[in-house]
Amino acid sequence: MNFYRRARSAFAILFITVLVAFSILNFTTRLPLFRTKLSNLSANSGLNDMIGTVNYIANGSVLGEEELIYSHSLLQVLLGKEESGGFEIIKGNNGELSYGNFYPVFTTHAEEYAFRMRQLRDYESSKGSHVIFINAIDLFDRTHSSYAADLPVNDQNTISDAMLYYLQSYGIDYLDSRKVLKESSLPPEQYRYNTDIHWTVEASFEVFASLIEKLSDEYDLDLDPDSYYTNPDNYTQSLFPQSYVGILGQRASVPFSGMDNFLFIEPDFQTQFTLDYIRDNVEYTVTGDFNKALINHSYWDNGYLFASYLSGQTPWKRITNELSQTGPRFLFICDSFAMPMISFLAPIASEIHVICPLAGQPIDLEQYVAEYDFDFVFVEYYPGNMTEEAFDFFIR
Amino acid sequence: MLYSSLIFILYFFPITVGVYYLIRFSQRLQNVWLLIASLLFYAWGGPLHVIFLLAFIAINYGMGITIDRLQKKEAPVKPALAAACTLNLIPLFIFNYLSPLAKGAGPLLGLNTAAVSSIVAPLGIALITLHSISYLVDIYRQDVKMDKDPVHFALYIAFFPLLIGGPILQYADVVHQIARRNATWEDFSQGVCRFVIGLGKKVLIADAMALIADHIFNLSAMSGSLTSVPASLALVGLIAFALQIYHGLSGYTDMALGLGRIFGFHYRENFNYPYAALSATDFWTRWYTSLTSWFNNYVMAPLAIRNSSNDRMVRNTFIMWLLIGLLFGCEWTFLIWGIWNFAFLIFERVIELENINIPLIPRRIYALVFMLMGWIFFRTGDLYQLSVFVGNLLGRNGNGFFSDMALMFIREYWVVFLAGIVFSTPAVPKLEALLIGKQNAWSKTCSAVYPLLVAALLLFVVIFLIRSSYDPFLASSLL
Repeated sequence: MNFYRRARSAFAILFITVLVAFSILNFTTRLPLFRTKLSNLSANSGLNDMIGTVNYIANGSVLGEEELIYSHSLLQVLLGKEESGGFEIIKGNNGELSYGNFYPVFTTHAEEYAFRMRQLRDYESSKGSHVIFINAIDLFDRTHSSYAADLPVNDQNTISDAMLYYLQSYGIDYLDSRKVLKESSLPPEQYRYNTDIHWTVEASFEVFASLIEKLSDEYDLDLDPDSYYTNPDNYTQSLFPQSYVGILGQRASVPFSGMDNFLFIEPDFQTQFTLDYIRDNVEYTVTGDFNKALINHSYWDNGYLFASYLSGQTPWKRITNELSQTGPRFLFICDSFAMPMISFLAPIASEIHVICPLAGQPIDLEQYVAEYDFDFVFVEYYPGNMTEEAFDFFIR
Repeated sequence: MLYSSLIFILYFFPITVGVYYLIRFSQRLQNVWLLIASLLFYAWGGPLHVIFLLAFIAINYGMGITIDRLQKKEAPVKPALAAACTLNLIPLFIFNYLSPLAKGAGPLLGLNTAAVSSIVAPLGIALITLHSISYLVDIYRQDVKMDKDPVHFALYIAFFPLLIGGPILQYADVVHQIARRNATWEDFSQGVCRFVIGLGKKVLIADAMALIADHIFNLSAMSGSLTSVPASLALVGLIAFALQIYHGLSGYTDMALGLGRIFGFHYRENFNYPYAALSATDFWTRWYTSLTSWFNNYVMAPLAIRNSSNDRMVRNTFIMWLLIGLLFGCEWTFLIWGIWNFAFLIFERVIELENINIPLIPRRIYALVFMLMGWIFFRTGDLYQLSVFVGNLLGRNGNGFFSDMALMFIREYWVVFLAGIVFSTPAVPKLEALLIGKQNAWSKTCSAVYPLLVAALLLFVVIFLIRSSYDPFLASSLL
């Protein structure tokens, strides 16, 4: 028994030594984060807010967490699991990650959002403008995705279906990206990244080309008469093999998620833009060609390549095409999915305004559309983002 | 703040323990420090609740002094005790029953009960109430001499290791330990190991089982036109809940006993492998024994003093189980759970089950049916959910038996199910007795591996805790 006691004592010594050392190290490295987040609390914040912030940082950020998350991920793989984080993320047979959801989505507020779209359309029509809705694809593709029996995959296509149904009933035009991609030459496994919620850059290029075609066929706005801008041959395509880990992959970590190829697409022709954008209440201006003005290379360092297009989702941005003052003027009300597509549209528009209501700093959209005149207003959302905040305009 | 949160493990725990041992030259200072830490722990869940706790402590301390003085003056004490107990039960009634009652009755009576419905119960309200009543009754009975040090009393009520999951203390058992105790290195090392084992049970087993049980019980509540819960899925949900509640509660008990031991407190065991029980009576001598012990001491004993006939015994047992059921909430299902336990306990007493020679396997099956059915009453939130779940379990809702989802849960969590079942049985202590404590090489090897096993368990706990709260974008904001 003495030996057993000694063994227990050995653990106690190990425990307290490691714990104290780790706690001190952890606290000193997290101190700047504590300081920043606590100083960001407003004067009106109470003790509850402070406790909440401290809890959030202390529980959500720990020294060496990436290595520990990596270990967790490795453990999931060793156990042959197809879910991570208590079914937060599930893995398909082809390695595609998706959110898990045990409760099928049968109800949405699509009718209300479609009504607000109608109000927007009616207002814009009175100014001679047009409104088109673009639905981004869901992670779950009913014709292609394949999951083990009864894994609770979050199929949000019902949300898109409901939205498009009500838009159609109100006579609002839309572009169903699911249909566009099915009719494209792109193989289904390239519609989306396995590790991300986003569609691929090549998929968004297909949707961009389809949008140009739609504007030409249905609105008599022929922006690309020679099919120059919509021809992929006129773009540089750089492949980064097995180098991309998206949002889902970052949460589940690489052993579980794997990595994606990333195809970066940029124009091969001359471009010159000014990009103004707001992030964290600070306004930035960048001038240069497509690669310099519209691509934020700091995201390349972090590995989150998709967000490098237009710096991802920010509350407001404006792209001014310095080479064409005669092209149309667009407004995008959208989420992060639209950023590559908007980048590809930029060379053929004179000006594009982009508002992302989900980026945290709401802008009064009714006032904004009253202030500016646009040729087209595009509203783009991923079905999971079709929420009250996303359609925060013309509320009845 | 939970014991199984990183803020507790990384900051609160080392600071509290560190300072406690730094000031070991003064027991009084140590008690003051533990009280301050306990109040901070309490305030972390809701800063305003600490005012409630302090008021609760002050009132009970005052009432304790009043009862003690009345005893000394040989004045009538019972009215004061009754008033004090009633006063203690009022907050429990308000927080545990008024809010659900208002939710239910408000719409029927056309009243706006939003304010009442939104009341959040302070942490450990039921435990605090039971501890206070124990204090007052023990002084009244003169089981123990009143300790007039307010810090000692405040620590008895607010000591943080006991606030979340118990065990339920009886004042007479601990008052001497608060006043005088000696935390040895043996206490510390045993306490640390016990704490880590409890943490492992809670984080690795109970939390995973809770996830499965919650989904299945929720799907069952929704079942009908939207979803269907086949019998096998309902059974998996029920087993998951049985494992969740055992490993959750016994994990909290292990953590409480471990933390207490680190600070030199020795509390009674609360669980003794209840799923190895062979009857309802046996189960209740193994499951959360501090609960039944408290009710036996403070409800059954006073009732039995007046009349000890069999009829009265049945009535008293019924009252006790009705009260135990009500302690968990004011849903009908808790009352039914209390009555279910009462019925089995009386039935076993009437037929004298322990004297009947029944083979082991039928006895185990009987006990398991009793326990699992009891958990259905306990887990389903209302009578409708109860009827749907029982219907699903028995295949009476046109729901069939086989379920892909049940297999999926087992496939994804087979390790946790296996660990949950194995650690619910006395296999580990038997193995420990067999391997450890003997003077041979095999025993020494096993003992040497022990710290590595506990360290590995702790590592797994930390990994799972970090995964559950991981925010990659918070981490990147450091850059």
